[in-house]
Parts: sequence; C-alpha cells; structure tokens
Amino acid sequence: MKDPIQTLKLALENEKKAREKAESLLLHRTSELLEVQEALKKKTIEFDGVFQNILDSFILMDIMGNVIKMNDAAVKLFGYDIKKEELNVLNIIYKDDFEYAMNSFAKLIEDGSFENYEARVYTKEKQVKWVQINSSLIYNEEGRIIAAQGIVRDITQAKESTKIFDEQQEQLAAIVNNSLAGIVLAQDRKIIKTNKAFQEFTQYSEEELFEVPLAKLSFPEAREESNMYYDQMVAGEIDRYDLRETYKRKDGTFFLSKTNVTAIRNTSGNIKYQLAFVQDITEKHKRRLMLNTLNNLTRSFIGKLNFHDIAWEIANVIARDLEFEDCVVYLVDKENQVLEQIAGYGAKVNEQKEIVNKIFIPFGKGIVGHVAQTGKAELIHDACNDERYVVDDKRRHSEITVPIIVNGEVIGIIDSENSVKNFFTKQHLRLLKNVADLVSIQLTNAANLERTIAAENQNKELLENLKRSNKELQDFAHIVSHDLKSPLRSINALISWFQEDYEEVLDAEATETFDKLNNKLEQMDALIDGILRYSSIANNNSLPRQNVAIEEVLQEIETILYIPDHIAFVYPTNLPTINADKTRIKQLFQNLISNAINYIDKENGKIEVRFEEQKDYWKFAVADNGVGIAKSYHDKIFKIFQTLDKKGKSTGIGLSIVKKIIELYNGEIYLESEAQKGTTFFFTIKK
Amino acid sequence: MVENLSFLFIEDDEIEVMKFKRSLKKLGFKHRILEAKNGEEALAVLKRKEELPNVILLDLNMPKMNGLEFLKELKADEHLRYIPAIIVTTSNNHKDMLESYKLGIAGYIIKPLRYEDYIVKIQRVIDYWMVNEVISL
Repeated sequence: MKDPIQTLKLALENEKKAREKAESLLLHRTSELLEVQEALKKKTIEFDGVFQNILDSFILMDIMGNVIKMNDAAVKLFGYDIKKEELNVLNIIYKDDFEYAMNSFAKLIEDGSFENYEARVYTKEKQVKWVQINSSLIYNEEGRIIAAQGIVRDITQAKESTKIFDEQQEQLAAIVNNSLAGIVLAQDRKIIKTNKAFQEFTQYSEEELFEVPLAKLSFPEAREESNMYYDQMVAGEIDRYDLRETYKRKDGTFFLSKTNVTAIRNTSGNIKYQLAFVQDITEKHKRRLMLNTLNNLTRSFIGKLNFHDIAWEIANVIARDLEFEDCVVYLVDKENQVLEQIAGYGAKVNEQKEIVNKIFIPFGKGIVGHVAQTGKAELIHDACNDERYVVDDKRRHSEITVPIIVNGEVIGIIDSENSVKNFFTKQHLRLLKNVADLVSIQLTNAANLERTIAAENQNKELLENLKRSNKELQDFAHIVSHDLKSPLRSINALISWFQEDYEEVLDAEATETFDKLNNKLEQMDALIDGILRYSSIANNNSLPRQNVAIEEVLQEIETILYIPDHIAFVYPTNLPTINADKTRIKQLFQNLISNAINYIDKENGKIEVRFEEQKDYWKFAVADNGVGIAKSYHDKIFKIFQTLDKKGKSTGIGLSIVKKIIELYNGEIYLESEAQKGTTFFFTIKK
Repeated sequence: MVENLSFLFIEDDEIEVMKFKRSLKKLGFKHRILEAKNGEEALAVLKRKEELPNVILLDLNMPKMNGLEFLKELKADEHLRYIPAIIVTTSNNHKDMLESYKLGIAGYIIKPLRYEDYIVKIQRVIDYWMVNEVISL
C-alpha cells in the first residue's frame, strides 16, 4: 500500500513530466513552423527578384481583383502603379470583353489556371491595348484560394499586324474576285485555286475545279502549242506565253478564250506555280468589254478640255480595249474644207506618239470625207466593194467611221480600219456613236467652263481696276485739294496786304467787300476740306478696329466743338464701348452734333444723344429742338453737296460723310423731324 | 535768345515766299532767310556748304524734287541730316504726315487759310527756335 501522499506526489511528478514533454514538443513545432515561415519569406524574396527582372508584366491580385503586387513592366504596360494608387483589374477590362473576362475568371477558379486569355484593357491614358494573360491561383495551407497571379503580355502590335495582314488579304481577294478575267493558279498544270470569273466562265465551283488538270477543261486543238510553250517554260527559256483556246463549260457549251500563262518560280528558279489569266473573247463577253471601254473613256476624259487631248484618249482606249488594228481621229478644218489627222493608234503612230505621214482628206473624199459631209456614221463590211475607199498607209478590208457632232456641226471623225472583212459589228458602231456623243458633251462642257473661267478673270480684272480707280481717286482728291487750297491762301494774303498797305484810303464799304471776299474764301476752304474728308473715309478693307467708348468720344467732341451756353448737351450714362475706328466714329457724332448746334433757333436749345442695344446692332439717336427738316428733303440731305442752307457755312458734305461711315459699319440712318420742333437722326452700327 | 537765326525756306509759290518774308518783317525779326524754289535747288545750296541754315522750312508739293524726296536726300547726308527740318504745307494727308515723321522731321505745320492765323503760327515756330540752343555744323 502506498502512502497516499506519495501517490499524489507521483501523479504530480508525472503530470509535470508530461507537461515538460508537451512544452518541448510545442517548442520544437514552433521552431519548425518558424523555419517554414522563414523559408516562405525567402522564397518570396527570391520570387520578388525573379518577377522584377522578367521582361513580361507580372501581377498578383486578391480574389476581389485588387492588385497587390506588380512589377515594373506591368506598371509600364498599364500606366498604373499600386505604390501610388489602388488598381482593381475589373476597372480596366475593355467593355466588350467583360463577359469573356468573367467566363475566363470562372474557369480559372475551377481549373486553378488559365492559359492564353486574350482580351483588351484600358491603360491609365485610356488607350486600348490587347493583352495575353497566363494565370494561376495561389492557395494557403488549408487549400483556400488567396490570390491569383498572371503573366501579362502586350500583343497590341501583333494584333495590329494580323489585322493589316487580314486587310491586305481581303484587298487582294477583292481584286482577284472582281477581276473580269478568269484567274487560275495551277501546280504542275493542275488547278489549285480559281477566282469567281473563272468559275463563272466554266460553270464549275471552286471545289469541283480543285486538282483538275487544265488540259481536261479545254479542247485538244491548242494542246500541242500549249505543251510546246510549257516545255520552254520548264526549261527556263520563257516566263510567259499567250494562247487561244476553247474551254468546255459544265453544261457542254464552250467559249473561246485568250489565255495568258505566267510562271511563278521558287528561289532556285524551278516552276512552283503557273498563273493563268483567261479572257472570254466570245460576243457576249465582247459586249461587256465595250461597256468597259466606254467607262474607261469617260474616266479618261475627266479634266481634259481640248479636243486634241481627248482625241488621243479615244484612239488609244478604243484600239487597246477593243483590239482594233488602228484608230485615227480627224479634226474638221472648216476653213480649208479638209480633215486633219490629229491622233491615232497603230501603224499611223510612231514611238514619240506622233502621226507619221499625216494626210489631209478633203471634204467629200473617201469614206471619212463623206461622213464629214453627211454627219452619218458608216459601217463598211467590205471596203473592196466601196468605190469611195482611199488607201492611206495600207489597203484594209473593213472600216468604221463615226462623226463627232457639236451643236449640229461635224467637228471630228473617229475612224478605224481592219484587214479582216466583216470585222466591225453593230455593237462597235453603237459604241463609237456613244463615244462621239460623250466627246460632244465633254467639249460643250469644256467650252462652257472656258467661258466661266474667262468671265471670272474678267470680274477679277474689273475688281482690280475698281480698286485702282478708288485709290487713284483718293490720291487725286488730295492733290487737287492741295492745289485748290494754295491759291485760296494766296488770295487771302494778298487781300490782307492790300488792306494793310492801303489802310488810309480804304473806307468802310471797301472793308466790308473784303470781308465778304474772305468769307467766300473760307466757304471754299471748308468745301475742299469736306471733299477731302469724304474721300478719305475709304472702304472697309483698311478699317482699323479698336475699342471705342462712346462716352469718351462725346466728351472729346464737347471740347472740340463750341457749344453755346443756351444749348444743353445731354447723353445717357449707359453708353457702350463698341469695336470700330475711333476717328470715324468721332467724325460721325461730330457731324451730327455740329449740325444740330447750327440749326437750333430756340432760346433754350437741347441736343440729346440716346442709345439702345439691339441683338446685332448698336442703335443711337441724336435729337435736337432746332428748325426741323421738311419731309421732302429727308433723302436729299444725305447726298453730297446738298445743303438746305444756302447762305451759311454749310458745305453739304457733313451728312454724306455720316452716311458713308454708317454704311462702312453695315448700319442704317434715317430721321424723324417736324418743322420748327426739331430733328432726330437715328442710326445703327453693326456689332 | 538767338536773334540771328538763318532759315532755309524751300517753296515754289512766290506768294508764299513773300508771305513768309513779310510775316518776319511784320513781327520785327531780323533772321536771315535763304531761299530755294524746290528740293533740287535747296540741296545745291546746302551742298555748297558756304552757309548752312539753322532750320529748314519746306513745302511738300513742289515741282522737280518734292518735299519728301528732298527729305530723303537730306537725311541720307552724314552732316546735313542734323539740321532740323519743318514741313509747312496745306496737306494734312495722313500718309504724307506719317512718311515725313518717319524720315525724321522737327515739325509739321499746316498753312492756315487766313493770313493773320499764318502770322501767329510762324511767330510761334520762330519763337521756339529762338529759345532753342542751335548748333552750327
């Protein structure tokens, strides 16, 4: 039996031991944990180093999309820097890509990683960039997602290049598919690609034509020739050849073609592909060609105003597009009654684009001369049977001749000959007639245009002359006024000397006569000054603009003009500041106010300036309580040299100056007046 | 006060010359007056350098060489350019005035219509030059 105390002691001992063990265990665990943490920290630091140095952008975000780490490349790419501002990736997703982004994120959560996510983002500068992202999730020890990391690559440029490449492909495809000629790409003379025109010609689809040997589509008649050329091509002797072949259609019919084959070689010079252009040269197709010719001509006529230029276009385009042997355009010389060859294509033209052995055909001679007289187009199937035929450089068998008629007169001829009988068709005739009509319209337009240009030039010249005349008139006014003023000064001086020298013998009557004489001189001087002022108002081309405070102008006028004490001069305080030439505005008010002063006959005179602002105009009024102006004179007073006051100092220029100034500022002037009561002049000045 | 100034008066109008002389006489001035009928003549007088005026008074509208042409020549001369030149004319043409001032004038006087007014103006001009310190070149 043990002592109970002993027992308790033992138990305590055991307990203590157990605790110590536990503690030691715990301590051990803790240090282990610390080691792991340390390792993690170290990893992170290592990691930091790595991702700071990688070229691609790296971001680390929490599950809410908040970026918690980003390297320099990422800062550069997005324009945001999380050291300075917060960044949530949700905010920078391009609006159209949002759904795709969300789906991708869901997939990332599900799979733990996501590759080649491609979408657009907004940078801080609101640029749109294409990015490619590879991302994976980061978990904590309990396996919970705590973050997502991603490598971001800027693929904007690559996307652009792809786009440009796609566009170029599209453009190329457009050219190939809209070509009227059939285009075939073949390898070892087996079709690998065709365009729409060729598919239409043959009635086969692209798939049906694939890998079909070209020889299977055409009749064997040209086979030998074709093989010969092909062998030469393989041997490297030629790079291209032309061939006339007949192709079979799917429905069993056939068409005549002109085929042009070009070799496409690889770098070592061996044939890689054959490229064939196939033209349908049957009638129906020819008609389509003719329409094209007309289109081409219409386009080439644009901007050409003289017949010679147009003639060369006709000769070249027609001959080239319609495969005529030649084409000559004649100009009608009415005076000499002959036709001159002014443009051509074929045997009549040398390399310098000049007509060789130019001939002049008299009216009425040959088919051309005949058409010039009748004005009717001709289609000659067999020239041998036509006695009118004239041999130019060589005898040919068929001919087509069409007149160009402007305003009912034949001004030119389009002519083509061919060594084959029955070469020209009704379609050809119709086409050439259309061309002739086109030329006629173009020449009429050109003539009209020339007239318009001439008229414009004339207007310009007239305007220049008018400007010069105005200038001359102004100079003239200055010179004349100077020459007129000088004698006035001399007369005045002479009178004064006469009065001085003969003071003793001159009586009162003589003095009065001299005073009258001097008065007249003053009137004349004032008149000359007035004319000078009027002529120097000039046009608004040389109109200086400045801010003019009307109140200031009126104050200045008060000091210049003598306003008698019995006349009250009033103006409101709300006068505006307008944009105009101060000198002219002053002249304007000064003339009106001095007029008012001169014609006030009341004991208590009053002159009032009034003002009202309108939408586009400043409106002023100068009112007096003077003698007034009878209605019948209201228009007359604004005309130069018109004065209602024959005896006074009035020159009749003041109001015409006023009117001229107001017109300079696109305003109007009118008056209201009542005899004996007074006059109010109203005028406007455009803002 | 300088009582014996010398003026070169350039004017083609005989009566104007008389007017100037008569005004000076009436005002009791004893100044010396050199005369020239146009710019060309005036330049000849000046280039002789026998006697250079203290002040030049000149009209603008003159035959042969007009006032502005004379001014250009005057201002182009190394020595003569320092003689003050005053325009006396009937023309208040803004262009003429601007051109004159650009060339460097000492004044621009408009001839008034009335002889009395003319005397007053001339008196003021001469009074001004009499109180001025003039240099002889």
